[in-house]
Formats: sequence, C-alpha cells, structure tokens
Amino acid sequence: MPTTYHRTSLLRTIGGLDDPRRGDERSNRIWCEAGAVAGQVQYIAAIIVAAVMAWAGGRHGVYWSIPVLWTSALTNITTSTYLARSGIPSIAAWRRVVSPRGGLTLFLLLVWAVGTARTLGGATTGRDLAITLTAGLVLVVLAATALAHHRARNSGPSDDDLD
Amino acid sequence: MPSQRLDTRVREVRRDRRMTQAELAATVGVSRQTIISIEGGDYTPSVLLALRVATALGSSVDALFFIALEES
Repeated sequence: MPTTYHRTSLLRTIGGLDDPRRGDERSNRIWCEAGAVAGQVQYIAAIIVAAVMAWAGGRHGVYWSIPVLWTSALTNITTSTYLARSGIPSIAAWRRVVSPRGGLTLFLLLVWAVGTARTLGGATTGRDLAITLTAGLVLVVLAATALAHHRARNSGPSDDDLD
Repeated sequence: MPSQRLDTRVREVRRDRRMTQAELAATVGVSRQTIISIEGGDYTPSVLLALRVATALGSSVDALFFIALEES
C-alpha cells in the first residue's frame, strides 16, 4: 500500500525536501519554510507583473500577461496536488478570501481584469474579444466568490443554536 | 485559557553531564545551532531527535521535555 511519502515522492524530489545538503531536521524545516514563503512571494509578484502588463503594456502586454498568470497558478495547483496526495483537505476557495493574502490575491486579479478590459475595450479581433471575455469571467468569478463568502458568513449558527 | 508550550531541561542536564553544546551536537548528529534552538525553546524537535538527545545525555524524553502552561 503506497504511503503518503510514496504518493508525494516525485513532488518531494522536485522540491528537494530530502536533499541531505539541507542539513539536520531543524535546518531542513527552515528550508521548507523559506520555500513556502518564496513560493507565495513569487505568486503575488507574478500577479502584480501581469496586472502591470495589462494596464501599461498595451494589447501585447495583455496577451503576455495570460501565460504569466497561468504560470503563477502553478503555485496553487502544486500546493493543492501535494495536499491531496497527503490526504489533507484543501481550503475552500471562498474561505481563502478571508485571509489577508487571499484578499490581496483577489484584489490583484481584479486589477488585472479591469486593466485587461480597459486595454482591450472595443475589441475588434476574435482574440481580443476572447481575452476580454476571459477578464469578464474572472470578474464574475471574483464577484461570485465574494458573494458566497458573504452568504456563508451570514448563514452560520448563532450563539442560540449552540445551546 | 492557558496556552501550552514545550519547555525543556536540556541545558541543565547537559551542564550536569559537563558536555558542551558542540559535543552534544556532534554526538546527536545535528548542528550546534540546532542544540541552541532546542535549549532556548525556539525549536520543537521531532520524537526521533528528542530520543537521540535523551540517549546522548543518558536521560529520558519526558525528563528533558515537558508541557508548560502559561496564561495567554
């Protein structure tokens, strides 16, 4: 029966988690913490770069911002995959918004989407139209996420229900 | 409600044994910085490392590590 270690062995190798050059267990733990922080910094930085490209780079800036965004999404995809293979449930998307980091991410995506819609406004080509629709879809998803979060927060049990 | 934190007597026991941090680190197979962090309560060792430290000091894990309660 495969263990969690075996299910994540490829990802562990990619992350260098078992690299003996990382030193003893405390040193290795700090390496892991540093990697987690670095991954989040890279994630946020990539979205900022994509937003700047959408606002200041013209049409081509918008085009190239999309692969940048997809690359940044790899951070979340890899995290979710690792958690799933380790048997740890991921956090529901709407609950991530609660954290300052999740809120910042959504805000930056909003900036990107508005910048894209502004730059490609009055789209004349099918490609521009598709990208504008994608940006619109991101806005709809952001709005739906915020609404779901609002409803979930307001539908929780009151103190009376817990008596 | 009081919170719990791990407290340690590693430093006292090590001094009783007249060992230096470097000697304990070499015996256990970790860096001296790790021993400093464990003694200072900055790092909670794994069960395996705690057992190795206890063995190196001729002591037991529950004699070296215990839960301290503190008001939050």
